[in-house]
Amino acid sequence: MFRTLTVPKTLDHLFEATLDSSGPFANVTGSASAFMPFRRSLTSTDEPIPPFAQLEALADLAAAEAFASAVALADETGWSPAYYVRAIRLALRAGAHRPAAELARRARERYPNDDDVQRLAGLLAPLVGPARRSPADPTVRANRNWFVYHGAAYRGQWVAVKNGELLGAAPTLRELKARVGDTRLAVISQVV
Amino acid sequence: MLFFGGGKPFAIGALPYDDGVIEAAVNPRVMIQVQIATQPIRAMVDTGAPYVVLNPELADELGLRTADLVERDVTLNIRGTNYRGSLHLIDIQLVAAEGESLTAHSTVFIPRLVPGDTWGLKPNFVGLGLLNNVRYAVDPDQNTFYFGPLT
Repeated sequence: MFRTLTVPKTLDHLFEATLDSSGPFANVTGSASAFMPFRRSLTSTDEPIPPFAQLEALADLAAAEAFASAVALADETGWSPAYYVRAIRLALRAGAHRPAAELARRARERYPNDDDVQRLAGLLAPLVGPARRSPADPTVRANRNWFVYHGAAYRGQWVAVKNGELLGAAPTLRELKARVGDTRLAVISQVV
Repeated sequence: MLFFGGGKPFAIGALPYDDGVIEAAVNPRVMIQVQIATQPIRAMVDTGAPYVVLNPELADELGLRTADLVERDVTLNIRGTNYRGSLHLIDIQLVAAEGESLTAHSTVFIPRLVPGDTWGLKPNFVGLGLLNNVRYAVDPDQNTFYFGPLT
């Protein structure tokens, strides 16, 4: 049931802090040992508690799954826009991308006029906007065919291909641009 | 092109894809041409990736690391390795060979390599940061990627 996670000693105070019942993660704290996805010795403390201590510690560890479990149990009732923004940023730091997007959607619904919330929601849970149309490029097929028939000979190298013809190849992109010059109309790619 | 049952267009553009070069015979991919910041590049379609992911060397050369930066402290696990980097909102064009091309606002992750990190031979990835903003379909018989607007 429990997964053991090694926590740096310097973070001990943060985990102890999560037992206090103040702040927006109150429901995470009181019965933390029942659902915390890592085994720790948890003790309460009388010190003022940073409400995001647990999430910050998990973000520092890039413990994405544990972060997702913890944030799913949080009571967001009293959350301000700033709380949401901080939780979303911590989720991104933890690598918990779905929770970040879900937080962003809920924050957008609750605080449609908050600029920071809207900025993050636009990044992680964008409302579908109009896509721009433009003419086709008939050279796409020739470029694709070059990679099919000649790509294997340039495995791992950077190449520039224009209208189905190789303009140059090099071990790095910088060298390629030095050799070829203007690459804006050519497909540039590392051959993988 | 492709249509819904009622005649409404599903796709407005199509492009041919290839299987990639490395491991193409055993693990074929869907490699397509897209355009970012006016530069045509190749990328692998990956519905398991939350964002578009750019090769960091490419992002540096295109000057994208400071472009439309929205969030700078992000961790993304790519093929089992955690990379730190930043998230950006950048327009990306699906380049049609037939029909019309389509440009959509996309969420893009740019890795920030630190000493000890290696990128290796990973492609650019076209993940949900673009794919969630368009309709798309893959015809593996004809190696064709179809796309259209959601609205």
